Amino acid sequence: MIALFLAALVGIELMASPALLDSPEPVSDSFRTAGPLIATISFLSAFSILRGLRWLNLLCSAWLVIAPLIIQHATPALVNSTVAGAVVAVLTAVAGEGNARQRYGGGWRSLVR
Amino acid sequence: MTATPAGWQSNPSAWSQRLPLVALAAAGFAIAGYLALYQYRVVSTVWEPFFGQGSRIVLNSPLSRVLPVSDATLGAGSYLLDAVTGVIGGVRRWRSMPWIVIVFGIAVGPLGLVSVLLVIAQPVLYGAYCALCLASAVISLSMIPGAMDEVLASLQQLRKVRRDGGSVWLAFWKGTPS
Repeated sequence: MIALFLAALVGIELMASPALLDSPEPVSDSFRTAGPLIATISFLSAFSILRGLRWLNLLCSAWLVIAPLIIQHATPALVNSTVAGAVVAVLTAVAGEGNARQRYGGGWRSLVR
Repeated sequence: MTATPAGWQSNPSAWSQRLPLVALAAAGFAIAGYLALYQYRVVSTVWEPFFGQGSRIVLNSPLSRVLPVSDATLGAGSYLLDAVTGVIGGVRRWRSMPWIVIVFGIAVGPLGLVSVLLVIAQPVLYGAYCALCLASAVISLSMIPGAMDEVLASLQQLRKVRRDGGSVWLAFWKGTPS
């Protein structure tokens, strides 16, 4: 749970980073899109009822890591993108499954069993 | 008979779970309503503590006027729907009124995510953030986890009715007797 709240903070950092790093478009668009998506996914999946959503973070992480290969980033933006992508992936991976199945009568999985 | 679903640790339809969501919806309604009043110039300025001209740019953008009513008006309507569908029904509504739980879930979940999409679209398209729009998005997001457990309880109940050979249609609209 704490890991995913931290990942949400990384998302908020990404939202602010175009202003902090003075990034031009389209680099700023990359941060301003990945940032709120990561903040949203991480916040929602921090709650055990929605923990399964956390894996969507990996799509955003993958984008942040490969984005500097596709669009030219200044060095600070490149570091920001790569490190944020890696940190979010690690935080997502260590978050664990949570206790939804015990708390919520089998959880969402009970609907497809 | 207890109101808590079998295998659950707490009752997702309890007032202690629902009233905080209704309070959040009321706060969201107040914020979105204020932004809508600005968009229609009932109030002439908008409060913006952090982003300078940001709120003005975002709230007067072409995107905010794509539909016949402004986006903040839709937001206010959506929060109102959240609040109304949040208070209808008793503490057993996950089984006695699944339809209202599902309507509540759709109002809070998918409609709430629309407000997040707007937050993404605003800075990308116009290079501006709007503080109260962000606050509204945070409120929308905060409501989602608390609403989804009730949806899960109703879906589990409908699945149980189906497995037992009953009519899901009737159980959805009329509930299941205890």
